[in-house]
Amino acid sequence: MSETQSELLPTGHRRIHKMEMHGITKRFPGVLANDKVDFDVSSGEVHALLGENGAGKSTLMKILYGLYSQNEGDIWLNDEKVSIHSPGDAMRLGIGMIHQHFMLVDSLTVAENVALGLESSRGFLTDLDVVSERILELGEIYGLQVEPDAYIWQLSVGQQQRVEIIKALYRGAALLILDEPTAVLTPQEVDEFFVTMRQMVSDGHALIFISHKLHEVIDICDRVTVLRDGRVEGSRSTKDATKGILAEMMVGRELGLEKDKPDVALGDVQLQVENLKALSNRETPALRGVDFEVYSGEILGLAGVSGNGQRELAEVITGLRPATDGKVFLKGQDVSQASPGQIMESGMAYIPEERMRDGMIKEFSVAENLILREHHQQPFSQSGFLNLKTVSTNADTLIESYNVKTPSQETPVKSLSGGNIQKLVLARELSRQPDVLIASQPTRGLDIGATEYVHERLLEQREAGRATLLISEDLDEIMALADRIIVIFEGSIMGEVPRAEATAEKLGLLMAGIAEGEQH
Amino acid sequence: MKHTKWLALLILLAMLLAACGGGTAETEAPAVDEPAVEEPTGEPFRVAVVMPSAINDLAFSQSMYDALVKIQGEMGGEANFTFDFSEGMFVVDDAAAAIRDYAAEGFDFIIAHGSQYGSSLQEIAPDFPETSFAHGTTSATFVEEGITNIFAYEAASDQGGYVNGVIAGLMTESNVIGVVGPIETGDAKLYVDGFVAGAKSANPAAQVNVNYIGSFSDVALAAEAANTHIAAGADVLTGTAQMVVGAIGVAEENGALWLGTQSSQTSLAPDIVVGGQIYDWAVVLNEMLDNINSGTLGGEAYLITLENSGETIELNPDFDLPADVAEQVQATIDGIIAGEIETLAIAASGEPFRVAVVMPSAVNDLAFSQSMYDALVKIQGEMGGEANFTFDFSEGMFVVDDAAAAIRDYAAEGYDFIIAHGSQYGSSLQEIAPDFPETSFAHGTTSATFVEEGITNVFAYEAASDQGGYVNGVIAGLMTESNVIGVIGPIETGDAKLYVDGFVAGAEAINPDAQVNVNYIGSFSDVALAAEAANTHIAAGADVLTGTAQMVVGAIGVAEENGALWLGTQSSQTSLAPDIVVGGQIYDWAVVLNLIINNINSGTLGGEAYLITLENSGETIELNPDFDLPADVAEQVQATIDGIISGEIEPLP
Amino acid sequence: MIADLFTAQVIIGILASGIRLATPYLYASIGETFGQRSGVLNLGVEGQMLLGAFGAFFVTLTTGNLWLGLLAAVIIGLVMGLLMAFISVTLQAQQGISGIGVYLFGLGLSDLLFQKLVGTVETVSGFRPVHIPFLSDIPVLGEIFFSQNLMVYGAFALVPIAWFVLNKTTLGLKIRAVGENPQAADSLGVSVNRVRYFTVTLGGILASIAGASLSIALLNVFQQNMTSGLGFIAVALVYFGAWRPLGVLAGALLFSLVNALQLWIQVLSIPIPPDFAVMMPYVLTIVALVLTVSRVRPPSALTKVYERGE
Repeated sequence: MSETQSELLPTGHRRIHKMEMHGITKRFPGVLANDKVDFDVSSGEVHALLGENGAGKSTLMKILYGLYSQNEGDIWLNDEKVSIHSPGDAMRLGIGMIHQHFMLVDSLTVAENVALGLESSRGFLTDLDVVSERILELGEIYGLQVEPDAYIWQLSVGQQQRVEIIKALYRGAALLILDEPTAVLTPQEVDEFFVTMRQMVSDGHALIFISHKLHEVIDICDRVTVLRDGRVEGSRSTKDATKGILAEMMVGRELGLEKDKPDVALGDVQLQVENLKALSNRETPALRGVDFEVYSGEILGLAGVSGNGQRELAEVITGLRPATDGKVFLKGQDVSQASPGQIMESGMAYIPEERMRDGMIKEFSVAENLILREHHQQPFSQSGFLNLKTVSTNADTLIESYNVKTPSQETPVKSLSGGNIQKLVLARELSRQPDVLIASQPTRGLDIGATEYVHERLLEQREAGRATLLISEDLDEIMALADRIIVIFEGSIMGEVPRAEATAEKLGLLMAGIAEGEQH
Repeated sequence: MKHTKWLALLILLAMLLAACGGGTAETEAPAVDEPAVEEPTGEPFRVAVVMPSAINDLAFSQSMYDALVKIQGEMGGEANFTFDFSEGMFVVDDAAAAIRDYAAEGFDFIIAHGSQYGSSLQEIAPDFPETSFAHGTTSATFVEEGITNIFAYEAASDQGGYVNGVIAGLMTESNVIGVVGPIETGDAKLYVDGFVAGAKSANPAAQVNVNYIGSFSDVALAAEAANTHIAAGADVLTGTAQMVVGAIGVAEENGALWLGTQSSQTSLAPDIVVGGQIYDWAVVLNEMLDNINSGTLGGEAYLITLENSGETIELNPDFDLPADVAEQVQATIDGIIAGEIETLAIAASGEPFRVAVVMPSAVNDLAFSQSMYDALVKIQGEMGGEANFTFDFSEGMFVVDDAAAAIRDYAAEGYDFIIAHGSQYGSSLQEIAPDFPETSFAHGTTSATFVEEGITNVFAYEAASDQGGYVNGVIAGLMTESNVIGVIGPIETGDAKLYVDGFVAGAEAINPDAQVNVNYIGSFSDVALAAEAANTHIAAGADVLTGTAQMVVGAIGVAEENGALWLGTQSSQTSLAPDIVVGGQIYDWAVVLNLIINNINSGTLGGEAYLITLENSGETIELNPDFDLPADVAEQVQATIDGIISGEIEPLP
Repeated sequence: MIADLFTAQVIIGILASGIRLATPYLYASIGETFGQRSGVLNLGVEGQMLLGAFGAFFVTLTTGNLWLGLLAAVIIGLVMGLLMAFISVTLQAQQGISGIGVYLFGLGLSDLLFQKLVGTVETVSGFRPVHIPFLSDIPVLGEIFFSQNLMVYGAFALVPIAWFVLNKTTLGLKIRAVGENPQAADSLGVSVNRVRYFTVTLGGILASIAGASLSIALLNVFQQNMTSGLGFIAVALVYFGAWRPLGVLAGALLFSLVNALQLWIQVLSIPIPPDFAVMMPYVLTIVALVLTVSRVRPPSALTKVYERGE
């Protein structure tokens, strides 16, 4: 077969007209991750793969990319059966993958990252100048401007994503798997990214788009396939899909996507932060003078792109990190110098960002984790001895009322799913009826069902007249829950927007560090 | 202030002595210098002896009787010295009654000639504090029980036994030798063990059959034992204690040779008694009498040996002993007196003596560890091989904790003697030794035996390495042309520091113009750094180098490459670089190990510190025969060695 | 007294000593650099050095051929490197512990073999100084830098070679990527395990050659435990050198020159107690480390085993 012009992509590589996965079955010990899954994508289309965590999307894509091999089923490329045993095989066949966590080496330059693992035109010597030239070319075609000599650690997240895409294109990817590509981007960056995606589609690439964000799926994708419990739940065109329909397909039941938020009268200031400053782990300024207050009966949303001081802020407020300047008042009391234990006992609860690292001891059982906070107090212990009976009753009650799915209260938490672990954290923190709740990325990595559950609980707090600081990188979540929204950028609050006036564009500019006055 | 304090102390001391002296304190000073013979008292000195057998038993009792007769003669007869005796007192209760009677009668000095009388003496002596008692053979004076008027005496019967053994080993034609003993203890055991050791050393092929008959008096059984030996092929016999007279008769009948002990037994069978060891208790009795005259009534233990002439070897003049055997006998006696021959080398139990050594470096390090290893190999050879002496070792134990674990393991495994060859192991020993009170330990180089900490089973040994260092320094000072000499040491402490200081002293004494550069590299094992230190010395102009500890092998190579001379220490390093190694000091730990093993065999498991020196031959200076040392230098070396031995030269004043 | 240090004789002496002392460190540290840059900490260097030192010594002693001795060191290093790689990469053992295991194995085996095969301290005739034409005729410098034996030249030549390989070749790129982010490298078709096998084996070979440089080039003897902790210092020098060959060179030279200096301090009777003098190289190196190391970061994946899939 001679290669006609239409066979080739602008990158000079061959198109993948059609990729089909037939009857893919993948078994892990005790789990059927994929059960006779059919999936396909064609040149010039974006096919979304939707599903809750654990539905089998990642497994399916890892099989396609050669990281796993299937137990049953075939993969066909352009009507030819292929076997893919490694990412190398996948890349040779024109399949590329943009991972959710970027596969970049921080200490190498853009060009070095792109060149890594490739044959060099100079044998065993590197040919970085050749690679750099080609990077600039590709950037030109797809609107992916990056500086080839820059080190990865110097780049923003959006730029890093461009490097990832260039890496895949450079390797001749005709089919790109995009694993939650927008999760880390600002709304403006998402828009730019969609421009690139559309360009690739019109050039004849085949794209697989994995996302939780239903509106993005509907916006950018042509078709959508929903996986649930390892099986294909359905596949349809996005033209006749709504968020509601898709969400129902994912979860298997109807979801109230738009939250009803009854009006709650604002009370006193419960948490006040004044000119707060702190250093990061690398001893660079992370907070540069933060001021805000949270009233009882409201949720204050803190938006911002990851790494702008959110983590440090949460840690300073909860006493885990010393402030270099400024004050924190809890119910009018200065707790800037208090220990985490004192702060917690004064009525603060904390849902940490890294729930497995900071929220739980993963080797401990469910019951033990549920009393981590109060194990030294009545009724859980007496004169230094644990009262195992109350510990057990407490666990049973909380497991039941927070709907935690666990084989038993003796199960170590490391064997639970992310959603259930977060439910345990909520159970432990909220059952203490705190006056102030700091919720840091409370739904990160959770599926829709669990996310919805967490949201409901947060709204309950609001209705109960408690003050909540919601720190989230998910704008949809902030806009759905918060009464007021403040945006953090490089350790400073860029501005405050009441919920009613908030739009993705407005917040996006603030998140990019452009203050309201500078907006046009 | 100071003076009054000393005065008070002196007065106290004087009072103490007065108390001990039992009222004779005022005559104390003149009495010390006055020989007993000239004791200017009108009354004769009265001695009483209680003996287990007859005074003419040709054995134990007779040896004492003969001694008393001899002393009486020396002192000018009965006017000055009288003695009474009770013989045949094999019933201890009878002996006790006799002793008490003598004491009550006012005898000056009462001898209970038998260790079995010890417990009786212990009861009687305190009742007669002004009477002096003695008993033997034993070393127990009961001083620790607060009794101050009992002397003890014993014989190093192993020495004569060893000589007898040598004779037997040389004379036997059948290579089977028979020994008849009473009970395996005390004097008899010592004699028999020494005899077996001597026989084995003179004739490793000889088989020595030992028979303890369980009695001091059963002449018939002794005779039967002799018969049994002869039936087993023995052609030379010996025996100890008074019941052997029967055995001598059997030997004579069968034409077997006999070697005696304690008293002369030649008269019994002049044809077959080759000779034997004879005790002369007069030697120790004289010392006791001196003590008594000077007011000291007890508390001392005496030993007769070949060296102090309390033991002599008598050869039967009628027996035609081959000249070479006679020569050998004399050489053995001389050797024992000089301390070169170890008479109790063989543990009599039949089980080999088991030694374990923990060493910081390898056994072939040409230095510290090797010197110990070589000594053990040597002792093993002397003792007749693995059947009698075995040793195990752990080398390369530069981690002290590992060494401690090894030491503990060895102790738990029941080794008789465990050597921790490195002063760094001292604190480990201090912890371990008390847990194994029946095991003997030694460590070095150090002088710390931890006796003051209440530990009694640790020996210490060290080398006067300054002596060899001084000699090496003299050689270096004479041989250097550039007048620059380099020294490489490990860490400035212990053996290394002594050697280096001695070396510097020697070099500077012989050649005041010489500049001696010293470099401690801070490690016992860093061969590369030692080599570089040698390079540095050579760059600084040195043409003669020395160094101590195991890491110097690298330095010797550098010296060779650069044509610099080398002086070794600890072990012979000539083989490494025969062209440039002039010679060096060599340690022979066998000298002290023999002393320690002797102690262990006689029940002393520690508490002594030993030193090897040029004088006791624990250190020798080896000169490389292939190195053409100028004659005048060689002479100077010998003069230095002689000077150090005679004490004229003090390496480290 | 101190002024004595600044004579030509002493300065030449210090430089010449420093260069010789640095030689084994360079081989071992550069080898370790490769391993660590790919994410594997090999604490078994000392053991590999000892076996290499013995192997080279023994083969040279029995055959009289230095090149066969060196070849023996290479083969031993290959085997020991593969062993370390197998334990730490394939079996995914904890790297610190497995390194100590390799060290103890090398220590014990070299001792045992020496006992059985040689028995006592002996010498061989090692690599002789090679005078580089013309360069060695330069006064002073020629003697220091261009009249050394081949293995000394080899050690110093290794530094630019290592720099070039790490920074200018595709292999070097793979090594760096694997040590920083093995997932990323794997996702690009770079076999993490193969790269680590390569670097750890190379490290083993270079450690073994480091040992050989002692036993058949610099000292020409073998003694049990003759490396005396040198292999561990070599590992420390990699940290000191911030995982860069030039940094390692600087560290090795600093340590060695100060060591040479302290030897002269004693020889010249400068009144510093020997105990303090011998501490100088360690103290100065630690000071230098404290002053520089806070600026650099070790390879992110150092000591972390790589397992595909999350």
